[in-house]
Amino acid sequence: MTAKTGWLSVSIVVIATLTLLPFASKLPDGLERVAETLNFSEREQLLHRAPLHNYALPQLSGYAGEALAAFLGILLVAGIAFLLGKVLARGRG
Amino acid sequence: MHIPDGFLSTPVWMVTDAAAVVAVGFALKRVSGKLEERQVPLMGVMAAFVFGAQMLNFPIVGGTSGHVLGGLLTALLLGPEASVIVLTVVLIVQAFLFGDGGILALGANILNMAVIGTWLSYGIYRWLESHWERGRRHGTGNKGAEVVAIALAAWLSVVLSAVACALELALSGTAPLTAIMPLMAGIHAIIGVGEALVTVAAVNFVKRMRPELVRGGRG
Repeated sequence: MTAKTGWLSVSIVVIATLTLLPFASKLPDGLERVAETLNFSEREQLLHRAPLHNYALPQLSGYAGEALAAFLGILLVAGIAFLLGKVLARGRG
Repeated sequence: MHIPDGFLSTPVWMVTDAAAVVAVGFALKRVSGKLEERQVPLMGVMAAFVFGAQMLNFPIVGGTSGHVLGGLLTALLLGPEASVIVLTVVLIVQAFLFGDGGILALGANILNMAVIGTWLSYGIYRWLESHWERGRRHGTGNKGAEVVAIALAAWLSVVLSAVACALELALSGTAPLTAIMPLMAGIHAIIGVGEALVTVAAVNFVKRMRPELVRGGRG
């Protein structure tokens, strides 16, 4: 896979995620559900205030905020993994 | 199943953080200098895919939702060590930037989803596949066997992650093992069906589009 195909694929992932995002379930996930059932949800502690807590932008509510958070997140992880890959591929031979 | 801070006792988060550092360090060492140039962009693509997929919760029964983890799929395309690294990158960004999963609990989450949900499930896939290969040589194997191996390993990746999560919470004294284990395993046995479907579909899709990418990290 070339870098060009890579970024094209990342763009497709962005488009697919942003398209499906409005249909994503807001229901509690498996662990959150179990924590509610077994009454330990309240043990949760916030040790660090994440800038985009809960995949939302503080200044932008609703879909726009979520979509921008998804966009930033996808680009960031793709960039980090790509750079890490470059470092790991170095010295091969 | 990202564990937030506060759910794990100090000894449990300390041990799981240390274990995660060792496991990820081992993965980095194994893959360092061995990653092929053509796999580098795929590292970015898989990180993007896993992050996107983990935002897309789908509803299951009882007012609960789940999402795809993507560990086995990433391992099938990049090899298990590179997959551990990709999943770890996603989990670190989720914890620090998005508050999904705790900071002290990061090691436990890496251990559950990036190591057990990736490395172990890939090992299970390879084990199933070796039996399938042997069957094929004897003329008893069939084409569906590989799909079954992928589906089963993908399903197990979610269930075993959940089992590990339940064990950590029980060891922390957060909930009794007999209560939390059947609940976590049961819910994730349903979520795992989604993982199996997406993994089989994605592998088929990649095989059709870019057959050379599937199990490119093998060797």
